[in-house]
Amino acid sequence: MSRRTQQPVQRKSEDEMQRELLDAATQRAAVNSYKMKLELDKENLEEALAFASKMLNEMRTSKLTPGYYYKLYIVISDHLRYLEYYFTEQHRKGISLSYMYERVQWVGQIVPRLYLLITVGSAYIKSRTVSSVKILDDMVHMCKGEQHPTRGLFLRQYLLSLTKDKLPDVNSEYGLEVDKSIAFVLKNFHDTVNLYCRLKDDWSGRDKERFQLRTLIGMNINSLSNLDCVNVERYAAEILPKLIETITKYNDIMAQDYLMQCIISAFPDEYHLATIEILIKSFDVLNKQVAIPQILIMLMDRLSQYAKKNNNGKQENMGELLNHLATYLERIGFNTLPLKDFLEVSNSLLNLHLHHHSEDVEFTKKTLDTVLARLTDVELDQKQSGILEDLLCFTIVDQYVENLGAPLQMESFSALLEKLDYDLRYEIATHIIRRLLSIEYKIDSVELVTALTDVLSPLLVDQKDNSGPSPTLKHLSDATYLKSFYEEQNLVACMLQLFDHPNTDILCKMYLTVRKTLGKGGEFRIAYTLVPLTNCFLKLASRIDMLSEEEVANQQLKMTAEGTFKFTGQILHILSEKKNSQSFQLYLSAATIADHCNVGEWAYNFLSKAFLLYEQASSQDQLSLLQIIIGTLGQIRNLTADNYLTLTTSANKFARTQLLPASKGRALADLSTIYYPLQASPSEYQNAEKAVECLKMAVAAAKSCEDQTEKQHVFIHILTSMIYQAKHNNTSLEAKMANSLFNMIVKELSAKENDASQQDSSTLFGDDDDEDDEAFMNVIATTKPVVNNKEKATYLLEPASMFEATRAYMARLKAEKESNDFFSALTV
Amino acid sequence: KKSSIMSFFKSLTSPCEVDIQIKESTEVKQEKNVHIKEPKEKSGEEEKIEILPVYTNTETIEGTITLTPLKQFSYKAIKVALIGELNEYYEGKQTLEFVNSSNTLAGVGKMTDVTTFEFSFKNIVKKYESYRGNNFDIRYSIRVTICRSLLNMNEDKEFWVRKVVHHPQIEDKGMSIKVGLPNIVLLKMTYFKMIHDCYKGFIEGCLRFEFVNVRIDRAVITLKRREISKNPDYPFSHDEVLFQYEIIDGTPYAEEEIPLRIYFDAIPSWKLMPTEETIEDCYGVTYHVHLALWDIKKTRYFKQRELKLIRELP
Repeated sequence: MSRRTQQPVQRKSEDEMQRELLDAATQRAAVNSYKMKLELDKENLEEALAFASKMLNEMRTSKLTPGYYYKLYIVISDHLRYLEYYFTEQHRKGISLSYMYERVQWVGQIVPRLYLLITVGSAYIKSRTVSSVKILDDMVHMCKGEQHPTRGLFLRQYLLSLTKDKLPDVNSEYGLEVDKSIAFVLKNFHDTVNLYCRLKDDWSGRDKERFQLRTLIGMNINSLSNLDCVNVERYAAEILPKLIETITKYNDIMAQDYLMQCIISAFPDEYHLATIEILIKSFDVLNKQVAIPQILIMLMDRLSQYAKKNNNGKQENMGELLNHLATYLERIGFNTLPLKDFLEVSNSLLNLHLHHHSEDVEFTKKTLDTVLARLTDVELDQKQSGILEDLLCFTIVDQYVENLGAPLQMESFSALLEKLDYDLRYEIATHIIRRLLSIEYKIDSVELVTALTDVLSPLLVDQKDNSGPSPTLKHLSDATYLKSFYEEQNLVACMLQLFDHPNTDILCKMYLTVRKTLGKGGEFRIAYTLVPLTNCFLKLASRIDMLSEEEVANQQLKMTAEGTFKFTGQILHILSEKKNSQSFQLYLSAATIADHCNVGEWAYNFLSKAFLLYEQASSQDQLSLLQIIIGTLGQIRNLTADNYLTLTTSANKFARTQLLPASKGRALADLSTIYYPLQASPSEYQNAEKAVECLKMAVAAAKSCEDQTEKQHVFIHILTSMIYQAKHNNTSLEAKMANSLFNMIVKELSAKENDASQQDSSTLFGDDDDEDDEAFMNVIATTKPVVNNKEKATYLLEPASMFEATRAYMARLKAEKESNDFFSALTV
Repeated sequence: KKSSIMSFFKSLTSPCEVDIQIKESTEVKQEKNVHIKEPKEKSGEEEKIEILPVYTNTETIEGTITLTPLKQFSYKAIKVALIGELNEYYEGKQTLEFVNSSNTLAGVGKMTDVTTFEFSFKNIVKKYESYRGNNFDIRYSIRVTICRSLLNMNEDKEFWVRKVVHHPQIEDKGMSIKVGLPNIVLLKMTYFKMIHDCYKGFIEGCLRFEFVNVRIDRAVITLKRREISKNPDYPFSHDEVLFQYEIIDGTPYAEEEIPLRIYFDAIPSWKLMPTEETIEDCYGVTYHVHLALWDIKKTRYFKQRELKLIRELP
């Protein structure tokens, strides 16, 4: 116990000691570097070299750990830059560097000698007065003496960093002996790796530091890949085999791991395609503990990206590559890999495969089955779930463009989904919908719908493992939750629009299938999902109605419009049960469509349901609801006369029982239109007297209005309704009735003496006669209060200007229709 | 006043000032002067820096001697000699002249004015190269002797001789030495040449590990100069380390060849005389390369070999 408590203290002091050593070394180096610079400035080479050697003697230490030694290396190599600059300058002054190159080798100690040698050598090559190959060879040869792991590693790092931009290459000013360049870097690579591996022996407890230094060994590979002379042939024939030979020579896990990754990331993808066999063979000779699956994954992911970029061409190579990979995976017993690796490899392999053979259903299925088989009775941890999600969500969903339905319908797909927790399933579901929507994927089979409802169930119904099940009131107060909830439900609604099939029977079946699941969504969800579904059914009804008999016979269609209304009715029933605000509207549109499809009973049925809802509505809302009912009734034409009468009677009753006189007046005025003119409806529906009676009652109701302005408005509203009736030749309407109302309005207005804010009423009507009716109805609409504030109704126009407009319109009609009794008798 | 006393004493011993001028060498092209920086231990002398003109061993040494009498004096003869001597430093200085070639410049006479003589030593064999060792020196000088009745007066002017030879005709295959302990470490030290030109030459070779089963700390190659004397009174063998070359730091892997390159230029030129195994039957100067290898437990392995140094004709 006591040891354990002491250890952290010891470790800390060890670090402190290291820091002290480093600080002291850095300071001494700085002093000697300063002196060296002074002597250099005095052109006193001998003295300068003596100080440089002294400075470099700091690099001879064995006391610093690799991490701290690295820091010292950075400082010293920075100081050496001045020396290198000096040598370069010497050349510029015309002094030969060959003497300097020899002179620095007089230093007895190996570390300073070799650092100085490289420093001069670099300048010497740069001067281009010597064959760079000769110097490179000599330097790498001389460096052999430094075999201490830490010191040697950094020395070779220094060698590479000073020469990597001076290597002979095609089009290089330092010579064209590319073979020598490659040999040089390979040699340095070999030595570096060797030393790196031996670092382990000297600093066994410092694996972390060794890990941080791994970039030092990778630099050589990067230098190779930067050489222009390295092309795919040379890479395959000379470089890769040599690299692998070196890598496998030292059985070091950390180095092998990192270097294989380096190779894959440093060289272009084409090279890997060409050398896949060599690469795969090399996996066999790597240490068994090297994370080969990770290397494979990296390789496959890179090649996937490559395939994505170059969709055309080189496909042949790719096929071969896949074969090699598959053979290899089989050989190493792919199924026995650790679970995480297994999942990642599956994912990458599938991804690569799909990039090549786009939408290969067979392979996808095989992969999913394999994965599923492996995952039986296995609980996934977070990381593994993430990979599986990636596989399902991105690899499969994103790779299938034309045929997304195929993978979704695979049993293993949904079975694998079950392995994930709610959040991930939810994410995948939204991703799938967005994907479907973005490509406007046509959902065209019952099976697909079944699969979709399964896959998308996190969005559609409460999940067992969802800690907060379908939104509760608590959730509804959470704005963020609500926002995402709306968003996701809207997605579902949008998805319903993707359902399509030429055969209406099948389409209907698809709707019914999805309806089954949607129905279980809970009251908050159905508001978003069943409403669009109702519309879908109604659209389907219209479509069935439009079918020719021939089509029905040919396709042996069984589903009738009536049938779809049955389903609509069921859904609407559920919605109204749940007091959904839209069910009233939906009933009315259903009624309109049913009527349109000549299914009178259903139209009646829907209307009566709407009437029931009307009765349940609050009286505040009733006027607007009633106006919608009236509007709908006016378009109905396929009910039996009796049914129509029943409905109009109810509507009449609704109008008469309005509480407020203004509402009553308006309702009654509007009500007149369900009796007359009904241009398109059967004549039995018409009842001109009843229309007039409504108007009369409206006037009577309006008179008891208390608010003057409102009263005037309602009067004008009624007046316009009268004119509308008259214009459509309701002979029961007498001009005197209109005249008396007209006078009443005039009186009301003059009593008020409100002639301010005269608006130019003529602009309210277009000059085009044909649009008169429509324009006039618009004016009427403006007489209705805009209820944006329940306490006080506001009007778009002052009654006076409103009246002016009406009068102008009346005058025109009067002028046009002189023969008409009503209009000739009209006072304007 | 002090200087007048000095000149009085001087006038007693040396009645004139002697100035020896040796003509610049025609055969030595580079490094016409040698800078010698001797340590102070030797024979208790202070550290001193000398600059001497350099000549080859076969060159004619000629020049002028100018005598400036301080007062009129008479002499029996005036002689000039080329002296080669070996000085040994035990119990003081023992001198052995191995060359003494003397010419008489003037017979009996009287000197009143400044007189200049010319001298020339042609074909005088200078067997050895000039040398400043720890136990003995080899020095060459021009000596002017004014023989007088009471006291002879000598004046020396030292010069430096380089012994140049033709490149030997024998084939130099270098040498390889195997060193090591079985199952611990086996290595082969190879020197590419056995005979080296100590002017602008370098020792080149490689160290090759054939078997390594020990963690090596470092290996150092030392170039040593050995002075020996067979003098029965005072025999000695003394090594001086001329250069230390750290060849290896750390353990190389087997089959790796570690290069060795020692430039003689790194050593002050006056310290290098060509190998002379026997000087006057008694002395010798030889060179050795010494390889020492330490493992991390500080166990030392070593091997020594002689190398031959010559100075080639440029």
